[in-house]
Amino acid sequence: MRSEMLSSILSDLNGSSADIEASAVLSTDGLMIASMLPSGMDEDRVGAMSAAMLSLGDRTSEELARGALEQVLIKGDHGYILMTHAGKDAVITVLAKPNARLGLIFLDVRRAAENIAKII
Amino acid sequence: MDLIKINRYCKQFCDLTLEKEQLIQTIGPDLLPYLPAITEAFYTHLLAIDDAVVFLEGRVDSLKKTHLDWLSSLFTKNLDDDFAAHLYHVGAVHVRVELPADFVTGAITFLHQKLIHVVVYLYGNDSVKLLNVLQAINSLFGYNLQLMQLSYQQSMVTAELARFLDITGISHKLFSNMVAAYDKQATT
Repeated sequence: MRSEMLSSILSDLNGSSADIEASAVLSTDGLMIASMLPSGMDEDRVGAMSAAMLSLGDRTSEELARGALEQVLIKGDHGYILMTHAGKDAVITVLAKPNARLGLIFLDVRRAAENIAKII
Repeated sequence: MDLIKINRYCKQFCDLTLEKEQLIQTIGPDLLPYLPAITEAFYTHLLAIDDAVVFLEGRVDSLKKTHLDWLSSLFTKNLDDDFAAHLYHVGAVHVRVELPADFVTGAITFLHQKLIHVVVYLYGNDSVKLLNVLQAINSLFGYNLQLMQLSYQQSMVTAELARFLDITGISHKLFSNMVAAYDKQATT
């Protein structure tokens, strides 16, 4: 049931913008909870790397006096990776296209994170 | 960490055979009276080394006792898995107090040299026994050094990882999951 609800949230999120290519929910320990990832992308790797990045983001934001972490954004040649907390025990990771309109994606991801936090 | 395997590995590598272990036990009573003087000489030697003094200040007497206990144990105790475990623990403590690994190498070299003097003095008139004892002691110190080096390596990696995780905020569980994810990748 919970898994279906999480998948539904991710499905809605991916459908909310053509710029979003994939998304996943994982535990802060890096274990995958639900995902809508491209085939060939390893879930365990995505989970572990996302949780590690968010953990490092938490520490960096604290260390550099930027307050509580809202999100971690990475940009590569082939697009964006956006990670944010979904409650205190989960992380949502979103992959977006290189020319994505980030403002809208930030809003959609924040809304999805709030919904996920209610379920987890 | 499989200490049984490590102990066997170090003995094999240093050619510390059962015959040599038995010989070491046999000559133990002859050597024991000389060991306190060797410990004294060792600390006198250390106190003349500036970089070593910082680890000794205010602790020389207790360190001497610990050192003599270890040195004596080489000739009185079985070099079994418990011995290896104890030495491994000592290595971990050394790393915790940030005693440089090269100190162990220097110490073993110094002690080995001093024991050669004693052995030649005791058995110099029996060239066959002298050779056997020197070879046994060489294996014995090599074995101790190798055990300590392995302990240092593992303890240093563990300590550095703990420091890294502490700085980054990455939990041990997350780190384990990362390792599992990449181990799986490596094997598929």
